Amino acid sequence: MPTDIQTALNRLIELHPPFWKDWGFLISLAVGIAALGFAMGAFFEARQAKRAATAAGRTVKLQTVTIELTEIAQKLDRIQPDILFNEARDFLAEIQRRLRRIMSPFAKDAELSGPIGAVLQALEKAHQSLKLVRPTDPTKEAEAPNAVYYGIEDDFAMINNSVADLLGLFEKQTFDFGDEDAQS
Amino acid sequence: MPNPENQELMVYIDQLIEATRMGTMQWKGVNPTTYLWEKLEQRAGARISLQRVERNVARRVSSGAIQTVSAVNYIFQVFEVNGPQSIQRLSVDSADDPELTQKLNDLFVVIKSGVSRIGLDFLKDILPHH
Repeated sequence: MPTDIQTALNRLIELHPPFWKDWGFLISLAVGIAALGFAMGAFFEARQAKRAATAAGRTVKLQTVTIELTEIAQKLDRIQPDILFNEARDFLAEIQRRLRRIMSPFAKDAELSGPIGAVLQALEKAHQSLKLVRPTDPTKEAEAPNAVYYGIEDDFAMINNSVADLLGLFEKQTFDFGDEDAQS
Repeated sequence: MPNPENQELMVYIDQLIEATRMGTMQWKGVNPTTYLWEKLEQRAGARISLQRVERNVARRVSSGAIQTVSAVNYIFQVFEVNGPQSIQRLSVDSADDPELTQKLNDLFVVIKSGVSRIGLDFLKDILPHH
């Protein structure tokens, strides 16, 4: 009897072989593995492309920032000795607004946070100096020629220097100087 | 070596200090850091201004690093006034002549005190007396 059972089982296995011995399964498995490989390849390519696009976007943004900082630096260069208090106040307000807008996205950047802090400090100092030349009687401001200029010229020069430092760092970031390669 | 012009100017500044202290020269504040004295006459007049400015000066500290510190300077100017026109006759920046800084600081302090005194005396006069 046991021999009959064994024979019957062998016969059953011959008639219904396990699924992993089925050619159909093996072909499907090969196709599945190939598809997974292609999918992973596509994922890594897409991630690389996203990184490249982000880097390109950052470069464009940095170049825009560089252009704006250059404009501000040129404006700071052109301050005239006969500047009046209200002109100086408006000018300071304008460059402060523009600089804050430009710098705020980079405030937490490790390399830029120091120079950004220096610009903010210079702006604050210029505000304090401007308060010290606020005319008692605006109609008689001209009686002390260039008083506003003398009061603020040094602080505006300090803003200009800080902006120039920042400009250099932004320009550096738009080019690859190989610093990271040198460190690794 | 002291500059002879500066020595002469210091004598004149001493005279300004004395005249201001005595009340024969009355200054007015143009802004919180600038004072002006005017002698206006029909044909020609004069105007003197003194401004206190704070500047950033780079100094090397003991570690060898360069640090920016604030330094007080004075700008002293004398104008000849002909009607609406004024011609600058003298301009001194104590940043260029450090020997004048202390003397101009003395003048500034006396002027500031004098202007405050005028204001306080006016306030005292307008207060109701019991």
